[in-house]
Amino acid sequence: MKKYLLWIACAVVVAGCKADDKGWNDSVIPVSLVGIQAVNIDNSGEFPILATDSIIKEAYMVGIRWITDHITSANDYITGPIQWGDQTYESLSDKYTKRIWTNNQFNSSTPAGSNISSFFKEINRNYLPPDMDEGFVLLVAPTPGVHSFRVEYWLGGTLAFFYDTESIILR
Amino acid sequence: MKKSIILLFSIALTSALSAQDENKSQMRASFNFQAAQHIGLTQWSNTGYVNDGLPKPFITELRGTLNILDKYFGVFMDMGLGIMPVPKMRTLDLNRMPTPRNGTQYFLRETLQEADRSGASAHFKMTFGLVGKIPTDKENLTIMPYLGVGFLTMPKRTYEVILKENNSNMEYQTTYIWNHNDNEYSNNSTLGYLTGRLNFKYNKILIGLEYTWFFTTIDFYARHTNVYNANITRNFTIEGNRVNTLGLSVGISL
Repeated sequence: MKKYLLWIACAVVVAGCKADDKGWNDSVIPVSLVGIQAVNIDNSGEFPILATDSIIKEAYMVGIRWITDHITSANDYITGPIQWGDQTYESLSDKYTKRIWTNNQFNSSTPAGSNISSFFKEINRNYLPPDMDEGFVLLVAPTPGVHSFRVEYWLGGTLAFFYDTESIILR
Repeated sequence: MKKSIILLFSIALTSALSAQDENKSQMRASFNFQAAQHIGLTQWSNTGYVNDGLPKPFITELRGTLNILDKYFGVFMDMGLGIMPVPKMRTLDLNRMPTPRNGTQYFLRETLQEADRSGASAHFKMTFGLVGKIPTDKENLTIMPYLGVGFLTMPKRTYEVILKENNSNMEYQTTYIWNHNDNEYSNNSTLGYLTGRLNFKYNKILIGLEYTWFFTTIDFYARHTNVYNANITRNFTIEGNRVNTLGLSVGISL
Protein backbone atom coordinates (compact mmCIF):
# COMPACT_ATOMS: atom_id res chain seq x y z
CA MET A 1 0.00 0.00 0.00
CA LYS A 2 2.79 2.36 0.99
CA LYS A 3 4.59 1.67 -2.31
CA TYR A 4 1.48 2.53 -4.33
CA LEU A 5 1.02 5.75 -2.42
CA LEU A 6 4.68 6.65 -3.06
CA TRP A 7 4.33 6.05 -6.82
CA ILE A 8 1.12 8.11 -6.95
CA ALA A 9 2.81 10.93 -5.05
CA CYS A 10 5.78 10.86 -7.47
CA ALA A 11 3.43 10.94 -10.45
CA VAL A 12 1.59 13.94 -9.03
CA VAL A 13 4.85 15.78 -8.39
CA VAL A 14 6.21 15.04 -11.86
CA ALA A 15 2.95 16.07 -13.52
CA GLY A 16 3.01 19.30 -11.53
CA CYS A 17 6.59 20.04 -12.59
CA LYS A 18 6.02 19.42 -16.29
CA ALA A 19 6.28 22.69 -18.14
CA ASP A 20 3.58 23.91 -20.40
CA ASP A 21 5.42 24.04 -23.74
CA LYS A 22 2.87 26.20 -25.44
CA GLY A 23 3.82 29.87 -25.51
CA TRP A 24 7.40 29.41 -24.21
CA ASN A 25 9.44 29.08 -27.43
CA ASP A 26 6.82 30.43 -29.80
CA SER A 27 6.96 33.93 -31.22
CA VAL A 28 4.29 36.35 -30.12
CA ILE A 29 2.28 35.77 -33.30
CA PRO A 30 3.56 32.69 -35.15
CA VAL A 31 4.91 33.12 -38.69
CA SER A 32 6.21 30.57 -41.15
CA LEU A 33 9.00 30.77 -43.71
CA VAL A 34 7.43 30.54 -47.17
CA GLY A 35 10.35 31.64 -49.36
CA ILE A 36 13.75 33.36 -49.60
CA GLN A 37 15.45 36.04 -51.65
CA ALA A 38 19.22 36.03 -52.20
CA VAL A 39 21.08 39.29 -52.92
CA ASN A 40 24.69 40.30 -53.54
CA ILE A 41 26.36 42.11 -50.64
CA ASP A 42 29.58 44.13 -50.65
CA ASN A 43 31.44 43.39 -47.40
CA SER A 44 34.65 45.28 -48.24
CA GLY A 45 34.09 48.22 -45.87
CA GLU A 46 33.30 48.61 -42.22
CA PHE A 47 29.69 47.48 -42.70
CA PRO A 48 28.18 45.25 -45.40
CA ILE A 49 25.98 47.05 -47.96
CA LEU A 50 23.82 45.98 -50.88
CA ALA A 51 25.95 45.75 -54.00
CA THR A 52 24.87 47.14 -57.31
CA ASP A 53 28.24 47.34 -59.04
CA SER A 54 31.26 45.06 -58.96
CA ILE A 55 32.61 43.68 -55.69
CA ILE A 56 36.16 42.79 -54.63
CA LYS A 57 36.16 39.00 -54.88
CA GLU A 58 37.63 38.62 -51.34
CA ALA A 59 34.73 40.63 -49.89
CA TYR A 60 31.68 38.98 -51.50
CA MET A 61 28.71 38.00 -49.36
CA VAL A 62 25.31 36.49 -50.11
CA GLY A 63 22.49 38.13 -48.15
CA ILE A 64 19.23 36.29 -47.51
CA ARG A 65 15.82 37.87 -46.94
CA TRP A 66 13.19 35.63 -45.46
CA ILE A 67 9.72 35.70 -46.96
CA THR A 68 7.23 34.93 -44.20
CA ASP A 69 3.53 34.65 -43.81
CA HIS A 70 1.04 33.83 -41.11
CA ILE A 71 -0.03 30.26 -41.77
CA THR A 72 -3.29 29.30 -40.07
CA SER A 73 -4.62 25.94 -39.07
CA ALA A 74 -8.01 24.66 -37.95
CA ASN A 75 -6.35 23.52 -34.68
CA ASP A 76 -4.97 26.94 -33.71
CA TYR A 77 -5.86 28.59 -30.40
CA ILE A 78 -4.80 31.73 -28.55
CA THR A 79 -1.41 31.09 -26.95
CA GLY A 80 -0.68 32.12 -23.36
CA PRO A 81 1.23 35.27 -22.29
CA ILE A 82 5.01 35.37 -22.55
CA GLN A 83 6.43 34.15 -19.25
CA TRP A 84 9.08 36.04 -17.33
CA GLY A 85 12.61 34.72 -17.36
CA ASP A 86 15.24 33.79 -19.90
CA GLN A 87 13.78 32.68 -23.17
CA THR A 88 15.35 31.33 -26.30
CA TYR A 89 13.58 31.90 -29.55
CA GLU A 90 14.25 29.60 -32.46
CA SER A 91 15.36 31.26 -35.65
CA LEU A 92 12.89 30.69 -38.48
CA SER A 93 15.55 29.10 -40.63
CA ASP A 94 17.35 26.96 -38.03
CA LYS A 95 15.62 23.76 -39.08
CA TYR A 96 16.66 24.21 -42.73
CA THR A 97 19.93 22.97 -44.23
CA LYS A 98 21.44 25.59 -46.53
CA ARG A 99 23.43 24.88 -49.67
CA ILE A 100 25.03 27.18 -52.22
CA TRP A 101 25.86 26.23 -55.82
CA THR A 102 27.79 28.15 -58.40
CA ASN A 103 25.94 28.91 -61.63
CA ASN A 104 29.18 29.80 -63.48
CA GLN A 105 32.72 28.45 -63.65
CA PHE A 106 33.96 29.36 -60.16
CA ASN A 107 37.67 28.77 -60.76
CA SER A 108 39.87 26.45 -62.80
CA SER A 109 39.01 23.42 -60.64
CA THR A 110 35.35 24.19 -59.83
CA PRO A 111 33.00 24.06 -62.85
CA ALA A 112 29.48 25.50 -63.10
CA GLY A 113 26.89 23.55 -61.14
CA SER A 114 29.30 22.62 -58.30
CA ASN A 115 28.23 22.60 -54.66
CA ILE A 116 30.41 25.28 -53.06
CA SER A 117 28.66 25.38 -49.66
CA SER A 118 31.98 24.70 -47.87
CA PHE A 119 33.39 27.94 -49.34
CA PHE A 120 30.88 29.98 -47.31
CA LYS A 121 30.47 30.74 -43.59
CA GLU A 122 27.57 32.46 -41.84
CA ILE A 123 28.26 35.94 -40.55
CA ASN A 124 27.12 37.33 -37.17
CA ARG A 125 23.57 38.52 -37.80
CA ASN A 126 24.15 41.69 -35.77
CA TYR A 127 26.13 43.15 -38.66
CA LEU A 128 23.79 42.55 -41.57
CA PRO A 129 22.31 45.39 -43.64
CA PRO A 130 18.78 46.44 -42.68
CA ASP A 131 16.04 43.98 -43.71
CA MET A 132 18.56 41.17 -44.23
CA ASP A 133 18.01 38.06 -42.14
CA GLU A 134 21.09 35.94 -42.89
CA GLY A 135 24.46 36.45 -44.52
CA PHE A 136 27.06 34.03 -45.84
CA VAL A 137 30.57 35.30 -46.55
CA LEU A 138 32.64 33.75 -49.33
CA LEU A 139 36.05 32.71 -47.97
CA VAL A 140 37.52 31.23 -51.18
CA ALA A 141 38.10 33.86 -53.85
CA PRO A 142 36.84 32.91 -57.33
CA THR A 143 38.41 33.71 -60.67
CA PRO A 144 37.61 37.35 -61.50
CA GLY A 145 34.56 37.66 -63.76
CA VAL A 146 30.78 37.46 -63.79
CA HIS A 147 29.32 35.16 -61.13
CA SER A 148 25.90 34.07 -59.92
CA PHE A 149 24.97 31.66 -57.15
CA ARG A 150 21.97 29.52 -56.26
CA VAL A 151 20.97 29.33 -52.61
CA GLU A 152 18.88 26.33 -51.53
CA TYR A 153 17.03 25.67 -48.27
CA TRP A 154 16.39 21.97 -47.61
CA LEU A 155 14.01 20.55 -45.04
CA GLY A 156 15.11 17.03 -44.37
CA GLY A 157 15.61 15.50 -47.81
CA THR A 158 13.24 17.89 -49.58
CA LEU A 159 14.18 21.09 -51.34
CA ALA A 160 11.96 23.74 -49.72
CA PHE A 161 13.14 27.00 -51.38
CA PHE A 162 15.81 28.21 -53.79
CA TYR A 163 16.84 31.55 -55.26
CA ASP A 164 19.43 32.64 -57.83
CA THR A 165 21.42 35.80 -57.15
CA GLU A 166 21.70 38.41 -59.87
CA SER A 167 24.90 38.15 -61.88
CA ILE A 168 27.64 40.35 -60.47
CA ILE A 169 31.22 41.12 -61.44
CA LEU A 170 33.72 39.86 -58.86
CA ARG A 171 37.04 41.61 -59.52
CA MET B 1 55.97 32.99 -3.71
CA LYS B 2 53.97 35.07 -1.21
CA LYS B 3 53.87 32.22 1.32
CA SER B 4 57.66 31.78 1.10
CA ILE B 5 58.21 35.49 1.66
CA ILE B 6 55.93 35.52 4.71
CA LEU B 7 57.63 32.41 6.11
CA LEU B 8 61.09 33.93 5.67
CA PHE B 9 59.94 37.09 7.37
CA SER B 10 58.54 35.11 10.30
CA ILE B 11 61.82 33.25 10.71
CA ALA B 12 63.83 36.50 10.57
CA LEU B 13 61.51 38.16 13.07
CA THR B 14 61.66 35.22 15.46
CA SER B 15 65.48 35.07 15.19
CA ALA B 16 65.80 38.77 15.82
CA LEU B 17 63.52 38.65 18.79
CA SER B 18 65.20 35.66 20.41
CA ALA B 19 68.79 36.41 19.30
CA GLN B 20 70.40 37.14 22.61
CA ASP B 21 68.79 36.72 25.99
CA GLU B 22 70.68 39.61 27.46
CA ASN B 23 69.50 41.92 24.67
CA LYS B 24 65.88 40.86 24.80
CA SER B 25 64.97 43.66 27.11
CA GLN B 26 66.51 46.20 24.65
CA MET B 27 64.24 45.26 21.70
CA ARG B 28 62.00 48.17 20.90
CA ALA B 29 59.17 48.56 18.45
CA SER B 30 58.49 51.81 16.69
CA PHE B 31 56.05 52.95 14.05
CA ASN B 32 56.71 55.24 11.13
CA PHE B 33 54.08 56.92 9.00
CA GLN B 34 55.50 58.25 5.78
CA ALA B 35 54.53 59.73 2.46
CA ALA B 36 56.93 58.98 -0.37
CA GLN B 37 57.20 60.04 -4.00
CA HIS B 38 58.94 57.64 -6.39
CA ILE B 39 60.05 58.75 -9.84
CA GLY B 40 60.81 56.15 -12.50
CA LEU B 41 64.29 56.29 -14.02
CA THR B 42 63.27 53.90 -16.81
CA GLN B 43 59.98 53.03 -18.55
CA TRP B 44 57.96 49.83 -18.24
CA SER B 45 58.57 49.03 -21.93
CA ASN B 46 60.55 50.27 -24.92
CA THR B 47 57.48 49.87 -27.15
CA GLY B 48 55.34 53.02 -27.37
CA TYR B 49 51.82 51.55 -27.30
CA VAL B 50 52.76 49.13 -24.51
CA ASN B 51 54.14 51.93 -22.36
CA ASP B 52 51.23 54.27 -23.04
CA GLY B 53 48.76 51.60 -21.92
CA LEU B 54 50.32 51.51 -18.45
CA PRO B 55 50.51 54.18 -15.72
CA LYS B 56 53.91 55.84 -15.56
CA PRO B 57 56.24 54.57 -12.80
CA PHE B 58 55.50 57.74 -10.84
CA ILE B 59 54.22 56.38 -7.53
CA THR B 60 52.86 58.42 -4.65
CA GLU B 61 52.99 56.17 -1.61
CA LEU B 62 51.41 56.36 1.82
CA ARG B 63 52.76 53.74 4.19
CA GLY B 64 53.02 52.62 7.77
CA THR B 65 56.19 50.86 8.97
CA LEU B 66 56.74 48.68 12.01
CA ASN B 67 60.36 48.58 13.16
CA ILE B 68 61.64 46.13 15.75
CA LEU B 69 65.18 46.98 16.74
CA ASP B 70 67.64 46.41 19.48
CA LYS B 71 70.43 48.93 19.93
CA TYR B 72 71.70 48.88 16.32
CA PHE B 73 69.92 46.25 14.27
CA GLY B 74 66.47 44.88 13.63
CA VAL B 75 63.77 44.03 11.15
CA PHE B 76 60.94 46.00 9.62
CA MET B 77 57.70 45.47 7.76
CA ASP B 78 55.61 48.08 6.03
CA MET B 79 52.32 48.22 4.20
CA GLY B 80 51.06 51.00 2.08
CA LEU B 81 49.12 52.22 -0.88
CA GLY B 82 50.84 53.36 -4.05
CA ILE B 83 48.90 55.73 -6.27
CA MET B 84 49.82 55.80 -9.95
CA PRO B 85 48.66 58.27 -12.59
CA VAL B 86 46.26 57.72 -15.51
CA PRO B 87 47.90 55.97 -18.47
CA LYS B 88 48.46 58.08 -21.57
CA MET B 89 46.26 55.73 -23.63
CA ARG B 90 42.99 55.86 -21.69
CA THR B 91 40.93 53.96 -24.28
CA LEU B 92 42.01 51.49 -26.93
CA ASP B 93 43.61 53.32 -29.84
CA LEU B 94 43.40 50.77 -32.62
CA ASN B 95 45.59 52.82 -34.96
CA ARG B 96 48.56 52.22 -32.65
CA MET B 97 47.97 48.56 -31.83
CA PRO B 98 49.45 45.54 -33.65
CA THR B 99 46.99 44.00 -36.10
CA PRO B 100 46.78 40.58 -37.80
CA ARG B 101 48.57 41.84 -40.91
CA ASN B 102 50.80 44.89 -40.88
CA GLY B 103 49.90 47.55 -43.39
CA THR B 104 46.24 46.48 -43.62
CA GLN B 105 43.40 48.60 -42.34
CA TYR B 106 41.04 47.11 -39.78
CA PHE B 107 37.71 48.25 -38.41
CA LEU B 108 36.62 47.70 -34.82
CA ARG B 109 33.49 45.63 -35.33
CA GLU B 110 32.70 44.66 -31.75
CA THR B 111 34.22 45.04 -28.29
CA LEU B 112 33.81 41.86 -26.25
CA GLN B 113 35.77 42.97 -23.19
CA GLU B 114 37.36 46.28 -22.32
CA ALA B 115 39.29 47.79 -19.44
CA ASP B 116 39.55 51.54 -19.94
CA ARG B 117 41.56 53.61 -17.48
CA SER B 118 39.96 56.97 -16.93
CA GLY B 119 41.49 57.76 -13.53
CA ALA B 120 44.48 57.22 -11.28
CA SER B 121 44.81 53.80 -9.66
CA ALA B 122 45.72 52.60 -6.17
CA HIS B 123 48.03 49.63 -5.70
CA PHE B 124 48.76 47.68 -2.54
CA LYS B 125 52.41 47.64 -1.53
CA MET B 126 54.23 45.58 1.11
CA THR B 127 57.90 45.41 2.08
CA PHE B 128 59.91 43.68 4.73
CA GLY B 129 63.57 43.37 5.53
CA LEU B 130 66.40 44.59 7.73
CA VAL B 131 66.87 47.95 9.39
CA GLY B 132 69.81 49.49 11.16
CA LYS B 133 70.30 52.40 13.53
CA ILE B 134 73.38 54.58 13.36
CA PRO B 135 73.66 57.20 16.12
CA THR B 136 75.41 60.46 15.25
CA ASP B 137 77.25 63.16 17.16
CA LYS B 138 74.09 65.24 17.24
CA GLU B 139 71.94 64.07 20.11
CA ASN B 140 68.57 63.88 18.41
CA LEU B 141 69.70 62.80 14.95
CA THR B 142 69.77 59.14 13.95
CA ILE B 143 70.45 57.58 10.57
CA MET B 144 68.44 54.48 9.74
CA PRO B 145 69.34 52.42 6.68
CA TYR B 146 66.80 49.93 5.33
CA LEU B 147 67.19 47.01 2.96
CA GLY B 148 64.08 45.15 1.96
CA VAL B 149 62.15 43.07 -0.54
CA GLY B 150 58.50 43.60 -1.38
CA PHE B 151 55.74 43.51 -3.93
CA LEU B 152 53.36 45.92 -5.59
CA THR B 153 50.01 44.80 -7.03
CA MET B 154 49.35 45.70 -10.64
CA PRO B 155 46.06 44.82 -12.37
CA LYS B 156 45.95 43.40 -15.87
CA ARG B 157 44.55 45.54 -18.61
CA THR B 158 42.70 43.45 -21.17
CA TYR B 159 40.85 44.19 -24.39
CA GLU B 160 39.06 41.58 -26.47
CA VAL B 161 37.69 42.85 -29.77
CA ILE B 162 36.51 41.70 -33.18
CA LEU B 163 38.43 43.29 -36.05
CA LYS B 164 37.08 43.41 -39.60
CA GLU B 165 39.67 43.53 -42.37
CA ASN B 166 39.26 46.22 -45.04
CA ASN B 167 38.52 44.91 -48.58
CA SER B 168 37.98 41.40 -47.25
CA ASN B 169 35.48 39.17 -45.45
CA MET B 170 38.07 38.26 -42.84
CA GLU B 171 37.37 38.92 -39.17
CA TYR B 172 39.66 38.29 -36.22
CA GLN B 173 39.02 37.91 -32.55
CA THR B 174 41.87 39.90 -31.05
CA THR B 175 43.13 39.98 -27.48
CA TYR B 176 45.49 42.59 -26.03
CA ILE B 177 46.77 42.09 -22.49
CA TRP B 178 49.05 44.42 -20.55
CA ASN B 179 50.72 42.78 -17.56
CA HIS B 180 50.17 39.32 -18.94
CA ASN B 181 50.90 36.26 -16.82
CA ASP B 182 50.11 32.56 -17.07
CA ASN B 183 47.14 32.75 -14.73
CA GLU B 184 44.18 33.36 -17.04
CA TYR B 185 41.71 33.64 -14.19
CA SER B 186 43.48 36.33 -12.20
CA ASN B 187 42.97 40.02 -12.97
CA ASN B 188 45.98 41.05 -10.89
CA SER B 189 49.62 40.20 -10.67
CA THR B 190 52.38 41.40 -8.38
CA LEU B 191 55.64 43.16 -9.21
CA GLY B 192 58.48 42.18 -6.95
CA TYR B 193 61.15 44.69 -5.99
CA LEU B 194 64.25 45.27 -3.90
CA THR B 195 64.51 48.55 -2.09
CA GLY B 196 67.15 50.43 -0.15
CA ARG B 197 66.31 53.44 2.02
CA LEU B 198 68.17 55.92 4.10
CA ASN B 199 66.02 57.65 6.72
CA PHE B 200 67.23 60.62 8.71
CA LYS B 201 65.35 60.81 11.98
CA TYR B 202 65.49 64.09 13.90
CA ASN B 203 63.41 63.82 17.06
CA LYS B 204 60.24 62.41 15.58
CA ILE B 205 60.60 63.81 12.05
CA LEU B 206 61.72 61.52 9.26
CA ILE B 207 63.21 62.47 5.92
CA GLY B 208 64.36 59.73 3.61
CA LEU B 209 65.90 58.83 0.30
CA GLU B 210 65.12 55.56 -1.38
CA TYR B 211 65.98 53.50 -4.42
CA THR B 212 63.77 50.69 -5.74
CA TRP B 213 64.54 48.07 -8.39
CA PHE B 214 61.66 46.05 -9.81
CA PHE B 215 62.95 42.59 -10.68
CA THR B 216 59.61 41.59 -12.20
CA THR B 217 58.71 42.90 -15.65
CA ILE B 218 55.35 43.87 -17.15
CA ASP B 219 54.85 41.84 -20.33
CA PHE B 220 52.44 42.61 -23.17
CA TYR B 221 50.60 39.88 -25.09
CA ALA B 222 48.58 40.02 -28.30
CA ARG B 223 46.73 37.25 -30.14
CA HIS B 224 44.69 37.32 -33.37
CA THR B 225 42.36 34.39 -34.09
CA ASN B 226 40.55 33.88 -37.38
CA VAL B 227 36.84 33.95 -36.54
CA TYR B 228 35.86 31.54 -39.32
CA ASN B 229 38.36 28.72 -38.78
CA ALA B 230 39.61 29.43 -35.23
CA ASN B 231 43.24 29.42 -36.38
CA ILE B 232 45.56 31.65 -34.42
CA THR B 233 46.94 33.88 -37.12
CA ARG B 234 49.45 35.73 -34.99
CA ASN B 235 50.41 35.86 -31.33
CA PHE B 236 53.39 37.36 -29.58
CA THR B 237 54.68 38.64 -26.25
CA ILE B 238 56.75 41.75 -25.62
CA GLU B 239 58.85 41.58 -22.46
CA GLY B 240 59.03 44.69 -20.36
CA ASN B 241 61.97 46.44 -18.71
CA ARG B 242 63.21 46.04 -15.15
CA VAL B 243 62.26 49.46 -13.88
CA ASN B 244 64.11 51.39 -11.18
CA THR B 245 62.90 54.41 -9.26
CA LEU B 246 64.32 57.08 -7.02
CA GLY B 247 62.24 58.40 -4.16
CA LEU B 248 61.97 61.01 -1.45
CA SER B 249 59.95 60.48 1.74
CA VAL B 250 58.78 62.50 4.74
CA GLY B 251 57.03 61.28 7.84
CA ILE B 252 56.85 60.94 11.57
CA SER B 253 58.13 58.28 13.93
CA LEU B 254 56.24 57.12 17.00
